[in-house]
Amino acid sequence: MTTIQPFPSIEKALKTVIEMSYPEANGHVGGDLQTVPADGSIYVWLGLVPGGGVNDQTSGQWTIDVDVFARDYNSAMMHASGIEAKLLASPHRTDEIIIDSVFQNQSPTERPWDDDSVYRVGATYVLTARRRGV
Amino acid sequence: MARPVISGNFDLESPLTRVPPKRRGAKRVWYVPNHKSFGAFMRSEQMRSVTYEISLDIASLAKELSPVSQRGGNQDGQRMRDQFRVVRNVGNMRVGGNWRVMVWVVNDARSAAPNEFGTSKNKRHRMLGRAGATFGDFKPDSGPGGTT
Repeated sequence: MTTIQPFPSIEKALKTVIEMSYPEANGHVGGDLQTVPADGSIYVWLGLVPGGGVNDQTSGQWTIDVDVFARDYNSAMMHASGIEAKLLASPHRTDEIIIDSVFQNQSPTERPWDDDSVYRVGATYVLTARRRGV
Repeated sequence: MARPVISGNFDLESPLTRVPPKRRGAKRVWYVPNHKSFGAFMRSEQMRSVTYEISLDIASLAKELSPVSQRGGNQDGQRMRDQFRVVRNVGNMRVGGNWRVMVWVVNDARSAAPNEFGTSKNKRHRMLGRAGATFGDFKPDSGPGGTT
């Protein structure tokens, strides 16, 4: 009997891809809105859109938000555009997943945040990925 | 080495692919896509009507997915979940390099954006994102109908 392992986390793979391809974000990528630094240093937040993904353990498609927090609007937009350019240049490979295509659903746009000293620019992407080796 | 003997119906133009012979005087028919005409159709009022109908469904679903305020809405008694509306005539947009009709689903409530995208104080509900993803996400091969 063939045992199929659970699909590797797409967020973990995307974190790896962003940290490898965009060095300014290395060590500043996470999935928790509570840990956004208040000092305005760069933070890249990844969040799957609930209900916006399907997978069959070998391949799948997900809708995911990539938000950049920074000290000012220009800085946030610059980093968001830099990450956008890297992500759209698919395919991407990690140890577990191959992201075959990246489609942009919403381009980098300012999104609301509580703290006026921190700017947030977010974009939404649709990823098509498969388990490596399939 | 002996040549292989090909047997079969030699009335066919190709015995391998079973293509029937051309009739005398028959002409080949070639399909030539008319991109200009198809582009015009994709920007037509007929296509806008279909998009508008889907947008109404998205707005309805987004309302169902919205959280209910415990405070009873704004000073006019309007709740965020009741303020989704569809704007029909907002022009066209480019998708994959091609112009397509565009219809907006909007919510003018002040609490709409914080509830949609989440903040440190507001839970992220992603009402419109989830509703939109149910009906397709601009990818050519996605959505219930196979296209968007």
